[in-house]
Amino acid sequence: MRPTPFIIGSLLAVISVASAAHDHDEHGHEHESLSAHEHGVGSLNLVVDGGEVAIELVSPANNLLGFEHLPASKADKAKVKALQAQLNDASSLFVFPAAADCSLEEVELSSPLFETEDGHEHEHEHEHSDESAESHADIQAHFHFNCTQEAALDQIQVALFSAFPGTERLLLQAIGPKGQQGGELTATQNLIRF
Amino acid sequence: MYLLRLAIKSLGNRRFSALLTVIAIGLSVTLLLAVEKVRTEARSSFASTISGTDLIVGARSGSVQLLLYSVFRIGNATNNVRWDSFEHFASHPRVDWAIPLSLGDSHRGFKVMGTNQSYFDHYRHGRDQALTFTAGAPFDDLYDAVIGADIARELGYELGTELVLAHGTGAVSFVDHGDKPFQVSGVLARTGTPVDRTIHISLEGMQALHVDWQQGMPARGAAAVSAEDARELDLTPTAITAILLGLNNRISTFAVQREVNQYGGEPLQAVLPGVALQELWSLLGMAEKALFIVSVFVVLTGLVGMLTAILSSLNERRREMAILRSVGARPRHVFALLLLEAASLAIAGILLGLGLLYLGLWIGQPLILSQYGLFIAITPPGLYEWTLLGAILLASILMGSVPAWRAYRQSLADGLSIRT
Repeated sequence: MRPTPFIIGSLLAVISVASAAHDHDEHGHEHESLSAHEHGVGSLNLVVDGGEVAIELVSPANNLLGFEHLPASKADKAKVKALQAQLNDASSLFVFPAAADCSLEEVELSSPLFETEDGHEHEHEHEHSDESAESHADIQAHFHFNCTQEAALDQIQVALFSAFPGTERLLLQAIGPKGQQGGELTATQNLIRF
Repeated sequence: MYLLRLAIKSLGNRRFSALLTVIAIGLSVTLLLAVEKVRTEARSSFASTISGTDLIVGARSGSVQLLLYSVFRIGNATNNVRWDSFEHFASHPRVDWAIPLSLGDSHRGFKVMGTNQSYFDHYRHGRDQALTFTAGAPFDDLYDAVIGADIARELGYELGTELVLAHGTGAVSFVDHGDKPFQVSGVLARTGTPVDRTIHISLEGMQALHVDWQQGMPARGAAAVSAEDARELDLTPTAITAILLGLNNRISTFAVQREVNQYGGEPLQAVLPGVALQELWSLLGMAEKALFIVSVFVVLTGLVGMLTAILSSLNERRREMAILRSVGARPRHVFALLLLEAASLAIAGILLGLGLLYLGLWIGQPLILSQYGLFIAITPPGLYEWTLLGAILLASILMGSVPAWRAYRQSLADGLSIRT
């Protein structure tokens, strides 16, 4: 039964996502569109191509850290440092089948919260100029894995939820060897099967 | 074995009520199987509509909405995409191919879509199958049209047929493009997707139709541009509805997606078709579950009907049981006899249900195809269907054990003399 346009229409009315307002300035300088920022919810993009696995995590800092202001106090700075160390040790965040023989190649982290660490502020294009204490900040992490036995790579377990209890859901976009898949990952449903 | 014969003979003795029971079970089985069949076929037909496309780009709305109007031609676009955005992404270094899609006109209820040669080269459906022609070739002339298989079949069009496109997408349109008729230059082979119900013309042809229109109405008199004069004009489209992108390598999918979502020229969004499709299923999953549950209850109703029929017959069959006992049947034989009766009723019902299902499919297949564009393959029941049927049989045996137990108790207690 092909769902009638009416049913589809009413469903769409429920789920249609409000698009962020976007305007052109007359000075020829353009504003970036704001992406959604919901505490407890991050997004996880994953591509498997041959033996390469690229994983991209974008999450409100609050889910991983518990705060989103620039770290000023010693305690906060220590927390940020600990988080960076935790993300850099990505092998514990993503569990691959042992038979696939996957190893971590590279981790890239970017967030306004990490900028202050090395003393000089980068001008990132996706940042606001005013990082007030109220502002929302995202943390982006790129992980690169390499698997020698790609045929054995039939699933990936996302162990992020136990490491970061502040993360409730991850919106998944995955491109596996057999095509695209989407959905939501939670602490109980944390397997991506190909 | 002799017990089964006995059970069937005993049923034959009460053939009318037995037949009614079988029909009730049969109808309920048909309903359950038909619901499941349509559900799975609809899913696979949806899933096989698009393949090989890495990203769908359109105006910002919801991902499911974009998928529905661009690929399935359901619903309407919220906004258009500027032609310069298309050119920007088509020439992007990471993009292998880009297919422009422009929707909006119709012909006798079928949608008309403007696109370009890239569509015939790169559009894939099912398991990476390309579009093939049963006759003719892709559009070459400004007023050429390529029609899908359903249109050729239903309207009886062939190569060279002239068709007048209508403005808007209603089956009855008050304004048409009568001054610029199109000619069928190609007929596509059946795909089992919305492509079969689409008329494809070139983007320039789409533009030529509307070149002299003002405020959505055709120009009158001197302002009108004839079909031949339109060829001289610059027919670059100003806007299209959506873009399908194929990338050089899958690893860059998310980078390109982000670039589209943050494109400065206009608010656009890019979705992964597979992800959007899954989102659609999770929405429709609720309705599917509800349908399934309703059908299961209908089957249960049929089985309860059987239980009632057997139970109410027990009292009338005390004499039968007593005679069986007198010729040496043990109470457990009586128990088995009644179980076999329930099982044979259920099996007859299941067979009748399967028969009705395939009869219905055989009759309904062309109707569903022409009405809804959904091709339902007639395949033998798969593992899942057999599991369902097995569960029904099991449920019937469980239910049959109730009267069987009662008869067992009675045959222990009753003698040959019937107490009235």
